[in-house]
Amino acid sequence: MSDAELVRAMRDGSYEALREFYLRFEPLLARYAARAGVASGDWEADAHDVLGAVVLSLVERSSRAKERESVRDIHAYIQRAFRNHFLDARRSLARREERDTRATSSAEETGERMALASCSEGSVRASGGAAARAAGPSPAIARLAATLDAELSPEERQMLTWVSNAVPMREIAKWLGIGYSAAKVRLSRTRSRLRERALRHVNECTAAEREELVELLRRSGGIGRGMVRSARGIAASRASRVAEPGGAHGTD
Amino acid sequence: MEPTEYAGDRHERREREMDELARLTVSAGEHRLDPADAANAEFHEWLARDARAGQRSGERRATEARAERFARRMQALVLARQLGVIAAPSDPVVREFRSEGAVREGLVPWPELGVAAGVGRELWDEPCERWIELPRALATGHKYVALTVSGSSMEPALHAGDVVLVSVGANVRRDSIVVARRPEEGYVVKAVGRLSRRAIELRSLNPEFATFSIPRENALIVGTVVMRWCAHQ
Repeated sequence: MSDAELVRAMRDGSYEALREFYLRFEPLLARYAARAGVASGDWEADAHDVLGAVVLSLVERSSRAKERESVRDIHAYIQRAFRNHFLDARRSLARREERDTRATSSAEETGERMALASCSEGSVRASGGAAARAAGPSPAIARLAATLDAELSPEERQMLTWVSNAVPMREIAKWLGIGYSAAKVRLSRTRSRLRERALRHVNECTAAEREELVELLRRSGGIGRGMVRSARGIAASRASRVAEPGGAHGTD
Repeated sequence: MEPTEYAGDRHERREREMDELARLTVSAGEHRLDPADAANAEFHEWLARDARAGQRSGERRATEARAERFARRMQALVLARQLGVIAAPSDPVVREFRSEGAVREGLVPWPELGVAAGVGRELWDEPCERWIELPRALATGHKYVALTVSGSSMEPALHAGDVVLVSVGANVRRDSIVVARRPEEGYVVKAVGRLSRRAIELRSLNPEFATFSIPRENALIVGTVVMRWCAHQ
């Protein structure tokens, strides 16, 4: 059954179609949740709320708008409903914790805003601690992510999103309509540029932030052991390393 | 030159590391991907397929059990909504006190009377001891009554034990759910089918029950169902 047929049958209240819809998209939702690093106390209730909201939007929309449109929107609906349900809940939890600890500062508000935008399990983990997990990545990491994101063209962002979701290179090449090796070259160029930009950003920020970012980058490999020995050493290595992008690792 | 045995490790580590940085980067802008782009549509389909393929058989079975519960509840919701009935956002707030006739603002009488039962009894003759607070989503100023559904004739939209909120009034629309009095039988909750000047066709959603007509008289119509509390939630 195609997605369009599924939506049509759901509109008629078909039990089979609703069951099929859940089977088709619950695993996807679980993957979004894992990537965003959100823990669910009651997965069935959460999944029901998100997918139920999507079904109602699809059913109501398809009675008005063109069907093809509503089908194309399935994934957009799921993402939006996921964001509303999980990340808003996370933000309100963060706000509650913030109230409890009476730790309010402008920097933390920035972090809270960024929690909506940032979904990286790695960045959440990297920021450490239960409170930080609830609030999303730390301000320093969120700023690095925003800086790097600003560097990307829409095509590059698209490609990196695919790559970071572990889509095989052959699929990516097919979707872009280019050859396998051309796609590899394009990706490695984007990666070196990111690495370069990340280093430049680290060198430009304050000492406290730098320490945190160097720790993150060392763990994630944006800079290798050879390039940075300590937060203090980075300024010294800056001149020589940034000059040759990729440093000790070379290019792919 | 570094020893060869490290070369493979290094390569693998670099791949993994760069994915981590790519992930951090797109985390800020991933949701800005254009869903209208055909390649992004393919990506999302791939992702959904890949997530399904990654499930182990135990997870798959658990998902199937959840899918069945989801389908049952959503089916009731979708069918009821198409007939103009919204699901109550939360459990009913019930108050218990005895009152003869006097209706309090914001409280809806909930008599001990099933809507498929009660031959010959008049709804309004019952002294009422249970009241439900009118949910905020509904306009005040109307007259409402809450009734408990009995029987399975409106499955799967309404189940026995559900409580429906009825907006009292003789106006009937096609494809809505009404509570009507069937001469000789009592109160029934049914979907409105064809309307003519003389008769109202009332149909059950459960195919095991036959469709019938009642004369179009205001006295036989209690009102239209606008909201329901599902007994299974």
